[in-house]
Amino acid sequence: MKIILVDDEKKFINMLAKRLALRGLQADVAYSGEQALEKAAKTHYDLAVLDLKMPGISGFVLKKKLQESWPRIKCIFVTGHGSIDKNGDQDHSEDIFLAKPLDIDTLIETIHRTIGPENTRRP
Amino acid sequence: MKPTTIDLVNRQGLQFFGSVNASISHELKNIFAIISETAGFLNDLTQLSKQGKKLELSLLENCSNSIAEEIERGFDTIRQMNQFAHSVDDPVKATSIADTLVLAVKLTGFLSYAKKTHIDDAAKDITVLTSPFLLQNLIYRTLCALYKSVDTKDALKITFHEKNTDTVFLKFSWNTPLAWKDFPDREISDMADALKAEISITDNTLDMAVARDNDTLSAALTGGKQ
Repeated sequence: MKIILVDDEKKFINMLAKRLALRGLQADVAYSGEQALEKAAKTHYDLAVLDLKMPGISGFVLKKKLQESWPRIKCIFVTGHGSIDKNGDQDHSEDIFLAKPLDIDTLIETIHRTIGPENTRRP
Repeated sequence: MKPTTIDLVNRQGLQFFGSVNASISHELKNIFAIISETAGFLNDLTQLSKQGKKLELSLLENCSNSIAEEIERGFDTIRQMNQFAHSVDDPVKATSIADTLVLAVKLTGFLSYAKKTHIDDAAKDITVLTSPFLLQNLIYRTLCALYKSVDTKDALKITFHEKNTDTVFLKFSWNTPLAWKDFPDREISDMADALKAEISITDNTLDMAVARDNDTLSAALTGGKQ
């Protein structure tokens, strides 16, 4: 199962990747939407954990672009904002939103729920 | 009908405060998120160590450095928030152009669409007698409009000088020519009028001429009471 974490806060996303790795979940990281698309062109990801507000491509736009190539990719949005502006032409009824700072156990539980525990490996 | 200066401060000022507060709180959340993850990682390392795994000191050092850096980033953000909050202390006062520009660049820097912006270090600071809050608001909104319009990879340069004894001249420039649409908008125009500022644009510059002594603002902002 392939996971990509996308956030322009490099230290945050690198630390999150390390903590997931310690729990048996390997994840690639990208520091922008553009970098995520480059990586997604080479690797078929099953799940993307996306920051909502990033310079350039936002989390919502990135999800749309990722799903154009990989319609079955699942997305979890992470946001530092107090509220989420869901206006726009996208349907967010099935989207999952988590607030920063993240609780690692909640994130892992959400990953398992989203892509199924049988697809993730525990240490 | 043109809004009064007090209307401008009340209506646009509240929006401005809200916008800046939202971006500052977002920045602080990002800082706390990094500190939280780093503390969590330290806890992970502690648990592994208890299970007999060798602890790499370099990891601990990296974590403590990272936390210290983020705390400094947090203090810097709070300093900007404090400086911004005090911009409403005096309706009109002697206001440093350099300080106003630096704060506006830092506050807009929290926005996801902000571009790299360089303020000319060599420019000699100039003081103008004006509303610090409205001037901050005008420059902030101008920067937001520029960030949204200039090419993604472009950077902004800002310089300023004394044009004559009555006017200070601010120049914003960028490289890739830009087709302007709807700038300045009504709100920016009203604010510029209140500040006795004139804005002129070309495809790669925006010039702002600001009155050095805006004697009518005091009365307009205090209803004539001094």
